[in-house]
Amino acid sequence: MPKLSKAAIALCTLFTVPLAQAGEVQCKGNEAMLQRYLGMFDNVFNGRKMELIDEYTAPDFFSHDSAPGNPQGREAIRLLVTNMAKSFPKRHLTNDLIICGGDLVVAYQTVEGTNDGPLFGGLPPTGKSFNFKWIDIYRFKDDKVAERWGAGDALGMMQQMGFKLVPPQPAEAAK
Amino acid sequence: MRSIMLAAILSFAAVGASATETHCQGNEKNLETYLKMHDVLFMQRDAERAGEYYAPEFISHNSDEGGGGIVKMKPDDLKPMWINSKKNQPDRVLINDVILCAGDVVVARVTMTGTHTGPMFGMPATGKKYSTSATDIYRFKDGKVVERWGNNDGIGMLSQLGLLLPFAQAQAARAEKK
Repeated sequence: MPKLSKAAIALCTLFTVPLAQAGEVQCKGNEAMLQRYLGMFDNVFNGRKMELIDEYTAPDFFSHDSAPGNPQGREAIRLLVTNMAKSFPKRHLTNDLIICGGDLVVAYQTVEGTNDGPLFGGLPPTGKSFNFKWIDIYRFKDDKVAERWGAGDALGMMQQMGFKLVPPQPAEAAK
Repeated sequence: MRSIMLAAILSFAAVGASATETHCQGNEKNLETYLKMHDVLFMQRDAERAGEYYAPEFISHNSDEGGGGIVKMKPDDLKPMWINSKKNQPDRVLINDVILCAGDVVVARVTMTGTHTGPMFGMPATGKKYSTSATDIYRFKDGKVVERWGNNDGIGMLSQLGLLLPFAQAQAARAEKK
């Protein structure tokens, strides 16, 4: 049996040690919250395990940066993960910097991927790659994410995919 | 209607600003420095005082006017960011929504509102108002910023100004046909 318990310990270690490698972490005294963040990051955002969304997010989850008309609650995360998987099946996130304070975790991330799937519900894939930065702020309540502020250089991403800004149209300018 | 639809599709813009939430117990000194810098450089945009808040060895991770990748910048190199903003968007206001301190860093999530009265993103003025969000992370050493990471919701802002990307126009046309 000693062999088996060793294997069991190894197995436990494998599943409890986060797979994500963070660049710099400033979370002294907030280790438990950090682990919850990393668990969500690995399993939900990189791993896209839909069945674990409820494990990491509160039923009344609220995003301050949800597009108007989009759902709140866990449905917001389901929609986000589903849409990203469709448009960018190989997208990968890296934590460059993680900062904890109070009940908040801030993550500065690198987002890398290729637009291999239909974009925004219907436009054909551009096939182009992107690499840009994103910052999320999460509030944890009872070990689950209850609130989020998040924005990043999505404009840079669009430009890397070949989209360009257009000057104001005459009708727009006249408004 | 079109702009509402576009906002729905594109905008990640902040929902209204309220009182600042601050988590900086034990880091009051960095918080105080941040708040002064916020007022002098980002609100008043007194670019001449850049050197009071930014160290000569400053490294920027920003992709906006305040940098572009991981680059070393002198305080003087940052001045155009504030000079241009003051000249082109004199009514711009930044409200701190959340401030978080840990170790030597301060994180600030702000809501930025203003009017597109002068060139922005290389685009001529539209006269339209915008409200968008930005988040910055500052590392302080001896009371000055030595490193900064940040970004803002450029897409949300551009969609409010009507300076749309072609994909947005295509998407709007699709949405209106439905």
